[in-house]
Amino acid sequence: MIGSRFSKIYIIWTIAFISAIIVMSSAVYHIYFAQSPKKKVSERDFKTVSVAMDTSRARTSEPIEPLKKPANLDAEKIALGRALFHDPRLSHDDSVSCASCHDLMRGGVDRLRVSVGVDSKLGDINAPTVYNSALSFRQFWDGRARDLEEQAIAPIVNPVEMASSMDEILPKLNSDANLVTAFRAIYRQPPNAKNVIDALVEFEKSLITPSRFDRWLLGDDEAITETELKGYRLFIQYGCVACHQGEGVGGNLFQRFGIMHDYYTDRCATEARSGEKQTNCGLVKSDFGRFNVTGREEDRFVFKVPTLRNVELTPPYFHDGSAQTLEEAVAKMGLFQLGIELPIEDMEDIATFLRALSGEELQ
Amino acid sequence: MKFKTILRLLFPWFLMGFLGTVLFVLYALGSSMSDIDREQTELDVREALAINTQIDLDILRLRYRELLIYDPLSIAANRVESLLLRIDDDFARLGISDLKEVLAAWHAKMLKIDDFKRQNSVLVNSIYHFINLSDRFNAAKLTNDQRTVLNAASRAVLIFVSEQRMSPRDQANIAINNLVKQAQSWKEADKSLAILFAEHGRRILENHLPVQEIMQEMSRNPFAASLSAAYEKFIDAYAEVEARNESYRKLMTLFSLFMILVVMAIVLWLQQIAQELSYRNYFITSINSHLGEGILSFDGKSALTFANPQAERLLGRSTDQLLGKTKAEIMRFTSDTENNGFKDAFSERKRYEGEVWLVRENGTKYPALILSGPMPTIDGDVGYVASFRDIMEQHEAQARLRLASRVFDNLAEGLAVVGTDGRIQTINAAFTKITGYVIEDAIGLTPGKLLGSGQHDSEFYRLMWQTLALKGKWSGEVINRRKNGELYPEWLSITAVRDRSNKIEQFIGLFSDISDRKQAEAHIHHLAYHDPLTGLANRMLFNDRLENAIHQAHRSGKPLAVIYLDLDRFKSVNDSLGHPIGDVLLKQAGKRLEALMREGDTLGRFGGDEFALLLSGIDDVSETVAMGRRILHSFDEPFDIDGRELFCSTSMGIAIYPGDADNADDLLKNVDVALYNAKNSGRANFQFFKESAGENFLAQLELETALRHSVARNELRLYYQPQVRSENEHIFGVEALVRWQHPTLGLIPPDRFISLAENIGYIETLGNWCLATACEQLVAWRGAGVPIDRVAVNVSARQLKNPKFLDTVMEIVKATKIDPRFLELELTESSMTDNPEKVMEVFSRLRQTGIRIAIDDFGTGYSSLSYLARYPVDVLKIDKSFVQSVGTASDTSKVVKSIALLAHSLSMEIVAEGVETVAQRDYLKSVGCELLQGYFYSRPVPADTIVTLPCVR
Repeated sequence: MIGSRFSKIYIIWTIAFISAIIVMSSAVYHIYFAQSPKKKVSERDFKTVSVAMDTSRARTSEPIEPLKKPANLDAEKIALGRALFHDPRLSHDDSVSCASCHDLMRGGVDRLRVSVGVDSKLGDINAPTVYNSALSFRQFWDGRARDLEEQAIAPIVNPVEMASSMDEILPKLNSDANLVTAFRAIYRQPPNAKNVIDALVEFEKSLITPSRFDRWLLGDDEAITETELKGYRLFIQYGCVACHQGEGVGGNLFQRFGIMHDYYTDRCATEARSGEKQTNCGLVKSDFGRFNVTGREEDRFVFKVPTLRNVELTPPYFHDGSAQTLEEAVAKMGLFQLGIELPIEDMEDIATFLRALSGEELQ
Repeated sequence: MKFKTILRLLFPWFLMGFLGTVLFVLYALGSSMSDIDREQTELDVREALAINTQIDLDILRLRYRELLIYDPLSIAANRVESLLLRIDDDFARLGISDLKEVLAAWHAKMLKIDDFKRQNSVLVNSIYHFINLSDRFNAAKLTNDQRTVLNAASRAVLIFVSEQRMSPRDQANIAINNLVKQAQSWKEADKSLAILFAEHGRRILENHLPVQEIMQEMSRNPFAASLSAAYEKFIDAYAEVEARNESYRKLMTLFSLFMILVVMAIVLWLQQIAQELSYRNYFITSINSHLGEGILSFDGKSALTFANPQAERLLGRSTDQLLGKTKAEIMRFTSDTENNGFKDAFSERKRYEGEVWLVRENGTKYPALILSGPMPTIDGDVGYVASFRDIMEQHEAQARLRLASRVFDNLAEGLAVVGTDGRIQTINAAFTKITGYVIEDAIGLTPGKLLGSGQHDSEFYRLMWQTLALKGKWSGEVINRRKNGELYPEWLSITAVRDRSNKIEQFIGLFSDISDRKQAEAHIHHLAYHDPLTGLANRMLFNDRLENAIHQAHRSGKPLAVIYLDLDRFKSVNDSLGHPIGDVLLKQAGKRLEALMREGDTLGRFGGDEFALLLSGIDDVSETVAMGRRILHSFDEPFDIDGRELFCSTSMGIAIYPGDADNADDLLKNVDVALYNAKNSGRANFQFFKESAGENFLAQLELETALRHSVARNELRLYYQPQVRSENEHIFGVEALVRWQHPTLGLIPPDRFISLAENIGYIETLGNWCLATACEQLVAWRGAGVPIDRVAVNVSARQLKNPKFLDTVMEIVKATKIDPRFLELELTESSMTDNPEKVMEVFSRLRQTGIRIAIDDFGTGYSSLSYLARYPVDVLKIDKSFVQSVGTASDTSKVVKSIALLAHSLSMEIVAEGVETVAQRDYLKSVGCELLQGYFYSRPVPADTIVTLPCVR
């Protein structure tokens, strides 16, 4: 009786002793030995960064660069993000999903002048395409979001868009056993504010749409037609390319809307001429563009230069959706930004070129 | 469980938890920097700075159209921003906020970059179109005026661009306004071109300077400097934290070592406890298995948890059968009420000590001694542990003991248990009753010391112990002494009690007081051996004694005598006065005879009026004669019987062994013959068996008779021997010496008649005559002028014993008118030893009158020096045997010298007797001997011849 009890104590103490030894030795290992391999990793990182900097110095002869498919994206996250993107539970009344306004079948937009949110509320600005949005150096027309992560939450909480909140949608998502299982499989956690956004962003990063023009840039002379090539030359020649350049054919700088002429005066006049209701003739807040973000006078009427990829698929154009056709948009751009009334054929050629920028997979 | 128990159980875990927490805290403190990769931060900073430089370069390249794409700039700017966020994170984690300035600078720069991109794209585009339009104007057919205006405008713009000053811009504006104004009148195509040209010129004017300023500002932007500075601070802070972490890690290492030590100490401690516990366990197990008592332990629910082998044996079931059972199932109690005490104690978990009655498997009852009490159990309840023992044997032994005790106490015989050390261990009541000693008196003492009477010699005890040692038993009669001092006989049986190794353990002494029996025995013995009437020995006893006496006489060579006597005419007394009177007469006669008996003599009555007397160890036949005379004389007085005086004489026959017979029978036969002869010779006399003995006796008798008349018939003479002073050899005194001038026998020397005179009681008469005569003679001499200063007279011991001796002496002194100082009484040493006190008193009285005392024949008899010192003695007379040996082979001169020294030290004078030679005289003189006496000077001479001696003259 005494013996068995004693041996129990003895075993317990032995286990305690051994575990104490393990804990202490691991701690000692962690402190004195575990740091050295980390240093090596850091050095490797340094080299990687150097290579990346070399790449950034690379030059291309063309002001437009070919679209690169992003590497290292997680297919499972993309799938999950795609599901979330189409999930109306992200809205207050389960009526609106991301895809409601960014219809992937319609070039990533709703092709409305302004979007319709929950309870059919109207937005105040034209929805930009979700395709290639990862290439934009800022998000939204006024560039108020630094990246997609910052951007993704905004429509959810916007009262005229999805009118919801993370606190509201997370319980809904967590009640979906399949969704929770999927989240756990990827993130080892149920849906939360961070991983929901992460999945959405991962999905959005995958929405890259290489076009025939990219193939031409990469050396495929047959990829575009003569007219399209002529349009590209005109695009450069007229100076469109001063702003719409780079990989995204835009999306990497802010520019005043109406450099050469005042757009809004003209807009009012045009609306008056066309006999439309002059509801938008007066300036609304969204017309001030980046001024709303920085408050600087010089940023008044300044907007992010939008990408022209898939521009064919995303009418109407401009932040106010005032241009119904691509040709009209090109003409207005020439007039207000370049101070030129483009000749019809030139304008059409440019439009033809722009259509060559549509993603081949989307057509 | 109790809170304390829980606490004790949880304590090791608390301790381990505490130590672990301390260790974890130290670890956390020591590794707080582990997720800040300083190198990574440095790389980030460096990269941010590098990209910043790159941005500046890209801006230049964009400005001068070397770069057409803004992607690198945007990407670089975004990259810097994300780097800054990361760096900011690291800074924040270090707790420093020095990056605010940097971030502010960066945000300013970002805005500038945005502005640059916006304005630069416009500027570049406008310059491009401005130049294109210039080319188109150059190619167009224009008037000189037109060209002038155009040239002025382009020149003004060009100057502004190259001068970069405000005043050229104003001039350029004027030129462009002028162009626009002029162009209104131009044809439509030229006009629109000119206006477009002007517009582009305006855009150049608008944007060129801001772009230039932005570029200059950017080069002045403090971002790079402040980032570097912030990074410096970061490094410092990091180093500080790192140092702190390092100390924490050291502390942790120390603490870990300490913990290891603690754990090791605990393990060692536990090992020690384990060892101790296991030993204790062995100890307890061993005790349990070898214990003579059954041990049972119960848990809090009174179910058995343990039983040792002895308990199994006592209960008759194995532990497996017992475990888990309740007390009632295990211990089968009888229905005795005395079991309730234990049952109550059990249920109340109290201590209990006592007996219970249990039932064995076979149904018999047995008493068990139970010792029990509460015991803590492992689950915190109060258990119970009990040890019990079958005490059936003790019960029986106690019963036997009680019986033995009762027997012991009620025994009529006294009983003492004595250890091998000889000391009494216990006694019984009868012992006390017989001896008077109670147990407290007796215990620890030896029987000999307690009861010893001194009646038995050591041989008796030696034999007793020897028998005991050999046979283990002894019995015999012992005379002991009671507490009240009374002696009593007891019949003692001693039995040795031996232990298993046959060693004597104790002695049991059983005794009975046999004093009553002894008395009866003595009575019977008396009756058997004594004459019932007179109590004297009967014939049987007498014969027995006679036999013994003959044996003794045969050995010693000393003769014995038997006197037969009967009362004359007793038959007629009997016949005339009756038997009772006769019996009384016989009794009185017996008494008278008994009174004459010496010690060791036997008086017997042979029946009738016949008495027999055995005188053993006689020196001389004359003693027998004296006895015969005394007997005859004792019958001279009449017997007083009931107030009636009755005269009765006796006749005796005497026979002597070995002269008359050589055995008892013959002796008695012969003595009977002698009695017969005495009767025949006229009664009231005695007759010897042999005539010879009688003749010898008659001669003696005649001398006695003559002596009795010697004083009266004036046959005694005094002779004087002078005592001479050694210094001048002149006479000092004389010693008077008696002589008997018998008419027929002539002069008889004193040694022949002095002892006879003592025997017949004539010595006093004789002595008194000598004393008186000597005194008269001295007075006569002194009257005649003879120079004799002392006369020494010998005094017999018997004279001294007479209480009237002193008066007699005083009468003589008075009668003779002698000066007492001239009188010296000489006594032998032996005469002083009988009654020293009395003698001393007499001496003292004599000396008070001036009479001197001398010790005669000093050195020959028994001398007690202590008495000598105390006696008032004046003179010591050295025996002549010492004096005469001086100068011979057996020289006693040293004795003489010693006596002289002794006497002088006691202030006594010394008189040396028997001086015969000159040598003796000289020696005696040399040792200081005052007076000398002997033939050298003179023989004893008659009084009238003294004056003729040379020493007197």
